[in-house]
Amino acid sequence: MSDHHPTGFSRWLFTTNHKDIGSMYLIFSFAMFLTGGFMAMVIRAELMYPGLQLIDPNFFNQMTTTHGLIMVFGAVMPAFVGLANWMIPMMIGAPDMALPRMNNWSFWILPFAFAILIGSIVVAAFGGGSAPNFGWTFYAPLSTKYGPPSTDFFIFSVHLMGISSIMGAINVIVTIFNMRAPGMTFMRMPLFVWTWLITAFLLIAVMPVLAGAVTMMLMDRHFGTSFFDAAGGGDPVLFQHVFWFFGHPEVYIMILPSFGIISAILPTFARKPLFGYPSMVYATASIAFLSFVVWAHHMFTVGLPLAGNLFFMYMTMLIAVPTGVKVFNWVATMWQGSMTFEVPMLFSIAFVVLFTIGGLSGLMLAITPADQQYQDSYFVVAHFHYVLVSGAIFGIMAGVYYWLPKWTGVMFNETLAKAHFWCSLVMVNLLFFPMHFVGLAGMQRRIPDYPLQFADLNFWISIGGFGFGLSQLLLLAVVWQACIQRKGKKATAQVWESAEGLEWTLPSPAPYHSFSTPPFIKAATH
Amino acid sequence: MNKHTNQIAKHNPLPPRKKNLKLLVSLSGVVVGMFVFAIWGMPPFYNAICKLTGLNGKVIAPASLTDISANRSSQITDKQRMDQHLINVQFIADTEPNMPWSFQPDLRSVRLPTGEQKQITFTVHNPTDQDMVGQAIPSISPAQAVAHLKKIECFCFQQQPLKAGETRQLTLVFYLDKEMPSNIPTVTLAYKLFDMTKPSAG
Repeated sequence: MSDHHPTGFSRWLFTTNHKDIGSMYLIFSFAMFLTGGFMAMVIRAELMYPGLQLIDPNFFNQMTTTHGLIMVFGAVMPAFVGLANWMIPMMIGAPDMALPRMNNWSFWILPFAFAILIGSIVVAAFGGGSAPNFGWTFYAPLSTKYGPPSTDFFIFSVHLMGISSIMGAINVIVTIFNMRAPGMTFMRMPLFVWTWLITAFLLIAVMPVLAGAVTMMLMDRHFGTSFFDAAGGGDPVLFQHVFWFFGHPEVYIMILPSFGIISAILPTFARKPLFGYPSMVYATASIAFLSFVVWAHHMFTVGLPLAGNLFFMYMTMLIAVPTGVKVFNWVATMWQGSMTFEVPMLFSIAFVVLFTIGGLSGLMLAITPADQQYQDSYFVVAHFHYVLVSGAIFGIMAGVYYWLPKWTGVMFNETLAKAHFWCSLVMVNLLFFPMHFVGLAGMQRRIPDYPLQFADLNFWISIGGFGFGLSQLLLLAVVWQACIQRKGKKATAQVWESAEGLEWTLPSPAPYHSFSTPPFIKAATH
Repeated sequence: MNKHTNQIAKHNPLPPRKKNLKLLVSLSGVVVGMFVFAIWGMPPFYNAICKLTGLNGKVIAPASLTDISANRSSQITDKQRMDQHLINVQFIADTEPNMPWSFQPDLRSVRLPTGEQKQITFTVHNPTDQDMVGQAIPSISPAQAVAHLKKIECFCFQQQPLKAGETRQLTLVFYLDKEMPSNIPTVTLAYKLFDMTKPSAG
């Protein structure tokens, strides 16, 4: 087949090509990452000094809410779907995704979903009422009885995001089940494919629950039901149960694909096969399974019975076992390897170290009596930003640098990329590490002002915030040079000296249509 | 090449399109199932658990008759009087925003020894020119007290019809059982009144 390329605007609007859709997902995700990052910088600007300087408390709440929603649903999740679109067909020797038309649809829903959400914050910024201001967890009754009118836009937007994610997940599952090249057995699949398969199952299990939660909110707000209204015989705590039944698997949705990316990169630059491939697969599956029985560890202080608190505490701690298996396997992969430190490897090593820090503070939060002290403090903020920023997002960045030469056909500017790495690494720690201390000292999250004793650390946290945000412009510059200007020396098919896997058998840049005839896989490449 | 084509044919017994659609349909089934579970499964299940464990102020069924008669007939000994302790019981009455009735307890609070029965009245008034029906929904806090507050008679067991302009006393008879934990000094019994009037035809 010739390398047929449709052109112009309709190419992007009507495309069913997995590489085009993957690129659009990644571009969209990066735009949302900068938008959510800008909101984070507004938050940090307000918190730089004690007292209220720049924005009023209600707008501050709108910023924390939309920052969280945009980063979770707009930046991290679409980035993973983008990587899945680009890489999964190439990794399993398929010509495209199994359901290409649905693939197009699941992407094009997203810009509309976020236009609705961001629209309400733009309107609010120009004085037109209030955008959602109840935190990204939108607890009832803040989001039901006391939610601003824009809450209905938010509900509709979450419905759209959910539909998009579900379609994306179904596509991934069908592709992996039905489109593997002959000889590509399940236990020969690259770990990125495995982690995405498990993530996709989590998505189709819990995104409908999120849709259910916002639907119940909508009915409570407008159709006279009382699911979450105590006055009508409902219960606001029920909202938290429904939300976190979705929410905890959701946080694994945001980390499992990163596990897969790291498991692809470490063997390449350590020049050793991945240590313990089967245990990695089983550990990922165990984490996914356990994610359904730990949700109430987000609710230790709502008044669960003692037996309930103990159950959720032990189950949560049990997750440390499969996660520990993964971390030790990564360390064992690097052990005595011939390591070199190209940019993807730097991000991957930073991921292993910093994700482990975030995991350990998670274990501290899992201890019920300790959680009574830590809950709703900056310690929690530090914990989930370590696992999401220096975990999930560093994983995404590692993956982007790893596969970028395969996508563009040119080697990216390594000096600039290394500058991006080191700036991000220093700034992310300056940003989030002191949050542990102010949190333990009692600083609450989600407040625009704080007692004077937290002033010095908050100043430095804000400096870290601005630094981390601005560092991302370096990533933009690297990607711009590689994708638009095509500057850099030509990349070989294998790109990295000892990269293994089907995607590296294709020329760089990967042709528009690949594997029209499936390759035959005789042995595992990992 | 030929060998490969055979391998592919063996690999996919169904035509790929059909196979994909089959999987698509079953996965969509999971999605619909989870959505139904979230709205129609989780709330009833949660309520059942709360009723079972007495969590979150959910009302327990009225105390059984044998329980009440045992309480009434037993002679209170000095020992038992020693075991008794005084609890401050507060009453709160409130109406839903679109409910025009006025509704308040005739007594704001009462200090009551455990095991002793008490009758409390609430005054309710329908200021509108229409016959209406109301239903009060109770809530008890703290949650630990729920299992120990026993209602013998309560206006909240039934709907309350009131004629236009009518005022009425509503009765509540209850007691706190002796297992009431002594570390709870105050129990709050709150009622919220809802408009249950059926919209008239036409």
